[in-house]
Amino acid sequence: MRIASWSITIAGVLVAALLAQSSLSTQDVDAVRKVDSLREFGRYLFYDPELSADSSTSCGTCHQQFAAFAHVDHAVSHGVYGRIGTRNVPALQNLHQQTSFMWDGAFENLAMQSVNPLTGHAEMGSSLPEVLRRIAASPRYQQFAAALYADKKITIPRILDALAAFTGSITSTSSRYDAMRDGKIMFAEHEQRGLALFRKLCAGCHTEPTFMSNAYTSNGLPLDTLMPDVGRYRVTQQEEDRYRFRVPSLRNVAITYPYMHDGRFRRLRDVLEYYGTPSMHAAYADQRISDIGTLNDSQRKDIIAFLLTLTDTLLPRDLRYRDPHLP
Amino acid sequence: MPSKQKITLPPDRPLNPGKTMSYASKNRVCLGGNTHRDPGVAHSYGGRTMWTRHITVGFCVLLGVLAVGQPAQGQGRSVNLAFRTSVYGKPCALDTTSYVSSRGQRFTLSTVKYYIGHVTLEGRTGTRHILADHVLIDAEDSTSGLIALRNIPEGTYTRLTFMVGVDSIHNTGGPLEGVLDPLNGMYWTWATGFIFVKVEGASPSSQHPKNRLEYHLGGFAHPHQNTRWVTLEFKRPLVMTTHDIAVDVMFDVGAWLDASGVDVAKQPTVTDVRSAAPLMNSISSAFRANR
Repeated sequence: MRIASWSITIAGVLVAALLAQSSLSTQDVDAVRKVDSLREFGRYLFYDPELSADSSTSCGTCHQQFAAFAHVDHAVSHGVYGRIGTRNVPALQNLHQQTSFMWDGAFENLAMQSVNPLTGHAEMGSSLPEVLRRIAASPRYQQFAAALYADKKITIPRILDALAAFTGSITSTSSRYDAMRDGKIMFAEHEQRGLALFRKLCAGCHTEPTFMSNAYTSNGLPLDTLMPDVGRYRVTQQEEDRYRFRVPSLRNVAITYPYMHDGRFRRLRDVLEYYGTPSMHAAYADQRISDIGTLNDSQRKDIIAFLLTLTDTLLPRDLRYRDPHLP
Repeated sequence: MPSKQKITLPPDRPLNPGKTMSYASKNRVCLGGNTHRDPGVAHSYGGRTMWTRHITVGFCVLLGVLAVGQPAQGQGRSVNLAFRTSVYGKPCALDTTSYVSSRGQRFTLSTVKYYIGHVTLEGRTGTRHILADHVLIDAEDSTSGLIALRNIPEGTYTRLTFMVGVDSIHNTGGPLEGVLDPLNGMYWTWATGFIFVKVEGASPSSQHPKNRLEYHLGGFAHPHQNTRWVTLEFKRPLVMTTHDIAVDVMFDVGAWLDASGVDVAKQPTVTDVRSAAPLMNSISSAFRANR
């Protein structure tokens, strides 16, 4: 009897928990409704040059939609007052799959990451108080705030959240590779060979289907003495992280040239030449790089043929990501 | 910010009518109290169906569980902490006063800001009252160090503990309003993480431009985990009755820098997480509690 009544008590707890759950989901539903609005707020911010010190540079200046939000044909980019940065602009896609951000993983939260380019000397060169002053004074953003927040206020955390809502929404899942995976198309023979080679030699770091990993590793690029970059060591101050960089996604790799953290390779065939020539690798290369061995011409071409299947057909022209100031 | 949710139990249905517990009559649940789950409770009602009774009880138990950690409203008095910044025993005077360290190095201070978190008042019997929010203390703003620990029940309290810095959850989470807003200039822009302690000034011993002195100390992740705990035992225990109690907590920047052994000529700036450790290691010794 005692056991039975206790089991009913437990059932009561569960019922109550369910009730509590349902009151939470009302909030969730409300939040979901606001996501569109928040993403739009973020899109306007992303393309707004007023975020930069000299009103010249928006996020979208260096993250170009047609290049999967990388900066096409720029080894490194130029920010406010013509200042030159030190690292190649990464593509923005499937960021929700990433647990850390930037080439050295300096940021562990997408929204907080925006603080870096906003205030970066060679990027947007502004300060958070100045960003807040300009955004809070703009009628357009006041409208967003009125729709989104009960107190109608614009704050730095809200600006950062909105930017992340937009950048986090950029998705790449519409490439020929995806169509092949879904069984909608067949790869050509050389693409198939390339995929097989890729799985054997490259997928140890560039994991399908995101083609990235959240790990940091050294691909053995010789140090550029004019622009020495210690990579992840800067963040962790751990010797083993010296010259390690993020394993970037290879999605849209054909349209995000140039390549590597410093943009030193212009063409995919330069990249394949590098990986397929062991004598070019520095001593600190990861074992997986050394294991690739020598790649002959036809192997390199096959791998490139496969990499071209990773280009998204939708993302570069998706209206949801488009600069709202364009006609 | 934690919501100050008010949890009220039905007044006509005490959880445990067999005993006269204070929350049963006042319908409040106090922090640290966990006596809600009394097995005898399921058998003290009459005249209702078992289902209704048990679901009600279950709901109350759940409320009780949820309520642990929620400060009750209006019960008990406050312990009013005032964190004050001093330099060699005197109130910190920014910009105007020149100090001399134990190494004989002169310096002035222009900024002293630091975070504390998990401020906990501990009772003689082990009860703990924890402030959920982080606090940013700024030597420039004397109100920034005023912290009220509210609704402290009557009893004897022997020590105050707190963390200097920001815990890892708040370091890696998304943007937050209030003292953790990156707008406060206490968030690094080159990497994830809050600056736990920011001390800026000038010293003729510094070889940097304008003799700048700059200590930006942080680091929340292994192996450079630089948050530090401070435990202050009260010389006379706090006896909480019906009056608020005021406690001053002094942070002496001069004593801290001396204890850390920092040499301004060699280290006029520290802004990376590895070099921050020696300074953070000695920070706990620079706090004192005065009644």
